[in-house]
Amino acid sequence: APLAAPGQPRALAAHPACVPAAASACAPPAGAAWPRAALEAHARRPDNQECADCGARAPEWASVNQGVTLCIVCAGVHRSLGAHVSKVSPPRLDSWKPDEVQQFLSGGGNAEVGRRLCSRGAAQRLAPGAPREQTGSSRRSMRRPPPCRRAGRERRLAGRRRRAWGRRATRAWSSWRCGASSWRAAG
Amino acid sequence: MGIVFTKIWQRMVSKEEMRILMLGLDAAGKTTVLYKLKLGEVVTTIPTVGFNVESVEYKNISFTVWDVGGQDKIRRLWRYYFQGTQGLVFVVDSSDRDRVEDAREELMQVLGEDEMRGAALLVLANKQDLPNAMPAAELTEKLGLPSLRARQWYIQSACATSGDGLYEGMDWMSRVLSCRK
Repeated sequence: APLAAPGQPRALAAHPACVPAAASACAPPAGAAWPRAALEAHARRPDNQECADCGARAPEWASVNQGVTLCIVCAGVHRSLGAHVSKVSPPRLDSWKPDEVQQFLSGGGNAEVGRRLCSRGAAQRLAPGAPREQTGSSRRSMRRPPPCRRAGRERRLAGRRRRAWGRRATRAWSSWRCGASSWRAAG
Repeated sequence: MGIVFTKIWQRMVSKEEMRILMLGLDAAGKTTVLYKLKLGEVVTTIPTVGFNVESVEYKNISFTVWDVGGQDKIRRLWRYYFQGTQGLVFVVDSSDRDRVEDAREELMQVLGEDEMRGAALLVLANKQDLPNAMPAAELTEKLGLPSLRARQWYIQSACATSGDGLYEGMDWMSRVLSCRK
């Protein structure tokens, strides 16, 4: 900041840190409940049309207390942190209470939250405009049978080549043993 | 001797089937519980919009577990899954103190339905590993379980990510349901 001439007060208002927070676009109207329109206008802002974590388009989920919009995959990651870190809720599938709407909007949107986190030393890739890593979903692993089941299926396929009674016994034995061992290992 | 073999054979081959419905508020851990039971591992879940269904075999009982999404507006769809349900697993996030009251209301609404009259209730007090998690005794009070009449219920503290408590809960469920046969 340029030094003020001696005897004159420094122009404090010129400093960016001194701009009052109430001047931001998402300040609540005094004494009024949050209208639905405010939430929709907030969602239309360009920074909120991308997932705050991975940059995916048209995020349908949001973290109420962090004040960011998220895609469904990143919403899953946020949920795994616990509700004390991030309260994930989809605005379309949940009905938000007025204080939740206020908490969400007071975050200031994805760009603002990203800037704030970066200034506190969070990863630079959260900065507005930074290139995002695409989140890889591990959904496929949910559909893949566990090793013991895959082994069981191979045993069953081998059993099919045997005689009828042998085949039946193998199937029953392998599925029973597979079930028991997987439970024990997991417990 | 023949009888012994028959009994062993039947024990190996025959399987009872049970229909289990898993409900709870969103982010309570239902999907994590389901896949921990099914696969024995912690999967990265995404919020369930719709349902997941898996058959889980345990102690010669084949549990068909329905895991239904818990978001506010999806909860209205729970009742379409009630028919033929023998056991209800209600999963609660023990660390989310703000929403215990919501959980109690939803639970009581489900239990009040006619189709759920005979269902055994297992409450999983999940996420016991998180800070400030309510113990099972506190949850019992807050969910109003002691006031339940003519209902077999059991509360089990659990941590789905480590698997603690899940098998104890399933043990209770299988014991109760096989006694009814």
